[in-house]
Amino acid sequence: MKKLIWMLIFGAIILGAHAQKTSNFKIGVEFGQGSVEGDYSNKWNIRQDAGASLYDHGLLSSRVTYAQSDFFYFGIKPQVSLWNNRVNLYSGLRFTMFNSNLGDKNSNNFFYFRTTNPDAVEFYKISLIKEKTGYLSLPLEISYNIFHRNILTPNTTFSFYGKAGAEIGLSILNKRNVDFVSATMQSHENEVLGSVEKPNKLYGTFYGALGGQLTIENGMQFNVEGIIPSQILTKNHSSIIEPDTFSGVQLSVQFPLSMFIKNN
Amino acid sequence: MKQYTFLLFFVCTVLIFFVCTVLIFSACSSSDEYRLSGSVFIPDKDFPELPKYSEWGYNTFGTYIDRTPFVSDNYTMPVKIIVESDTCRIGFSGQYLNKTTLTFHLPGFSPENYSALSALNNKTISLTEPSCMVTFTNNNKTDTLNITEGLLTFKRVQKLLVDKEEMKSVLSGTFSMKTTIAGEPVTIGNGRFDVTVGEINFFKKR
Repeated sequence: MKKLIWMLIFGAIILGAHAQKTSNFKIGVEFGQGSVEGDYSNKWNIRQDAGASLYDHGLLSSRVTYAQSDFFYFGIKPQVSLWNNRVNLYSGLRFTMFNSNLGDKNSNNFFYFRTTNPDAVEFYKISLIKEKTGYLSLPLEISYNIFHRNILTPNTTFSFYGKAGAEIGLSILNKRNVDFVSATMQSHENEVLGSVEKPNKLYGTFYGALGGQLTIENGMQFNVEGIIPSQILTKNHSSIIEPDTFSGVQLSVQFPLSMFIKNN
Repeated sequence: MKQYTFLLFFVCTVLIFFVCTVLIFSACSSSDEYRLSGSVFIPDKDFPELPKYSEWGYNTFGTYIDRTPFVSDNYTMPVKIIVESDTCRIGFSGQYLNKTTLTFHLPGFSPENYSALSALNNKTISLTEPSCMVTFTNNNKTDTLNITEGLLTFKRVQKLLVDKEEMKSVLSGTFSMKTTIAGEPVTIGNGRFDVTVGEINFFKKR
């Protein structure tokens, strides 16, 4: 992971030096959203009263709870184009927010959470455990235009590209809530949350994407891409879900730097 | 007159609210009773045909009768406790070739209700004591077992609380014995149980 990031940074510096014209630089904004596929974290003491084995996994699991995690992100995205716009390098600053839920799967509207009581087997009836985690990260991406064609006018082009990227970030926000079935139990929220440690501060991903890019006459670029199932590299990024993969979509708009800075 | 109509309307509203609340809460309790009576089978690492020993009220039990497993299933009530005069009968029902029940008769123990089962906490009972009796029911035929050696241990008897309210008792422990079934000597070994006892499976004959 470390090696890969250093290689990407080093490559970006060398290749950036080749991008001599201001028009090769762009700055833009990105928005994305997606979901994390995986199973719920076994750290929560939940009574599996479905009469099934506990060792099944994923969507087909017959366990009583589900874990679901969605995310959205936005950020600023500087870009440098190389080799006649065939290769693009991106970096920037990104804020990603994960919204994760742990809830009942079998329309009972609650599950039994087992708490630590040395003198009894004690359960709380819980309808939902929610977690919000926000990360500030530095992405590094490289894309290669597989297909490139002028459309409508000579200066309007459409490209189809593949992209690989990695990001590393730190958690800046974590909030967890428990919805009890009985409102009188709400005072035990900290007891439930305290039984499972908070997520890791460090966050890293490695991902791939396929996308389309429209470049109009003034150099503005519009990108739409689908993130193929990719990996979260750091462990324990969420206390709700054990991720297998994540996927999603990203939209970005890039403005040529020459729109803001005049080339002499 | 208008005042009386209003009062009547108010009383009716309060009554309807009260009835609905009682209905909702009683539905919750029966839902708890149903869900907490379900079995959660976690296989033992060393004996995967048997449930792992636990103390969480998972409503399972299992033992080997020689090499054949006798375990609880998802359809049969795994335990029933019947208290009659001064004897408490603890019957474990499950599958051993077909539906089978192994019942421990504990004379001199007559709990008033399932909460009183806590008196068994941390108790070991020698099954060879003349006062103690074990019966084995298979194919609708009940045999009294002649036990040459055997122990029944209640490692923990705990209350089961849901949202701070007592719902059931959890009995967890182990058992093993050497006996004779259908004239053949057998070993009933590696027995373990983790069962809940509540209103639906505790019977006291008055």
